[in-house]
Amino acid sequence: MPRFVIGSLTSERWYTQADGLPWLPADSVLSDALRDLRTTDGVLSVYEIPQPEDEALVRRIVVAIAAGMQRSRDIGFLLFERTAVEGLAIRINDAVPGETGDAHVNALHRDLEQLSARKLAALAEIMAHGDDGEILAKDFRDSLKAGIVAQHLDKNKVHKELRKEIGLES
Amino acid sequence: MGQGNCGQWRRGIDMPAPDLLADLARLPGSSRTIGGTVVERSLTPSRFSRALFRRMPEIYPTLIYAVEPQPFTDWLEGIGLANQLTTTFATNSSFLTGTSSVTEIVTNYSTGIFSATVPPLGSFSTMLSTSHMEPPNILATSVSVPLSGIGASLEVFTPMSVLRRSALSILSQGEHEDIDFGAVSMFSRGVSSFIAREGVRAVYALIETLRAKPPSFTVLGELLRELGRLPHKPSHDLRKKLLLQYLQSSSVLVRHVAATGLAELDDPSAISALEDAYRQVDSGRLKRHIMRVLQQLRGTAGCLAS
Repeated sequence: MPRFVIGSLTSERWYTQADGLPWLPADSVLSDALRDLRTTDGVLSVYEIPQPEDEALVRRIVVAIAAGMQRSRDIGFLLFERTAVEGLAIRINDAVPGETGDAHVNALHRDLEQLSARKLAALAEIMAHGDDGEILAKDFRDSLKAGIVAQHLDKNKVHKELRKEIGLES
Repeated sequence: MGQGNCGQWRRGIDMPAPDLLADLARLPGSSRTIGGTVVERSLTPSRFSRALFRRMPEIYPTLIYAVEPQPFTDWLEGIGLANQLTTTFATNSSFLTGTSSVTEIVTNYSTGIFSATVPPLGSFSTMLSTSHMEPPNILATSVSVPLSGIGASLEVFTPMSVLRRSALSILSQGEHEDIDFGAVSMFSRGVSSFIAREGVRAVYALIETLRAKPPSFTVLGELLRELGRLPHKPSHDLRKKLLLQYLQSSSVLVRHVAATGLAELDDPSAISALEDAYRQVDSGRLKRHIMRVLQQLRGTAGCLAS
């Protein structure tokens, strides 16, 4: 079953009832989650994970997305099924490549288009009940360096301040 | 300069109550050198220092209360301490007569600062200070604070009331800022520069302000991350204790961001507390999050051991 990944999330915003917030309805997520889903013109960026799923590739996607940050931090990400998105009648556009520094990752980019506020909230609840993951700041810095060394990741697409932080620029 | 330099100072001047500095030097802690004239010494303001403090008149009978003489109160006014000092000692033979061989012992119960000053020595004055401030309720055990020798500068005495106002202002700024993911925010800059400027006492001020006026969870999360990542050694233990306290919160969300702060701090001494926290969670995001933090810290511990 094909899945999407969305990165650069603040993990603690995605707590559900099952995670220890008993006041939330069963299928809901903390409203703060919507702060992580910043859409532009009703469009939200996600990446489709090729089958069979490869955990290393998921990390590579998440790191590539976060490489545009000004400084390192912990990065939450979520995996959710493509069919669930289709079930909300959300249009999926696979013709727009991503803009990360990793060409392989960019080819996996998908735009979820024509989102209404209601659809976005429903999508957030689907995401929250998918699989969650996280890359802590220290791990992120190491992965970023490794990606650049392995030449997956274009150093010039990494934020200048972040390059300084990991010692790649004075 | 380290403890040995404390001895050097003692030999270099005629100090009426030299044992005081020796007692200060014996306080538990570690020393390090900052530049040529500044010594920073971490110590624990435990019962030891407080007991020493209370016994001061008994141990040093030559000390007298020195709040009355006009030159002294003028001096206090000049450095902004006149309204804060509740008890002040000076040596009978020196300070009040204006000679250069002066030892003054200044106590300040309201801010928790206790200092012994030896001015002037050559072209600069030296000051040793320590804090005997009771840790806030949130900190159940004693904490480490710096003992600083500072040439002529008295910035360490920025009143706690001023620091608390600064802390409140920084936290309020955080409430009004839309902090972008992975951006260097005004809030994070404010926290780091506050601690860089005021040191451990800034962290105390933040702790007191957090207790008096808890911020939103969003701001608390950013604050705990920032407190974890700051490269400020003197306040390391205090920041760790604060994060560990929040790790025991009844709120899963607060425990989550406390664990994140501990990951930023990357101090393996937090492992056992994190293991306890892990055992207390049945399942869900918090358990997975704590496990990730534990894995990182165990890796760090392995690196340090090798």
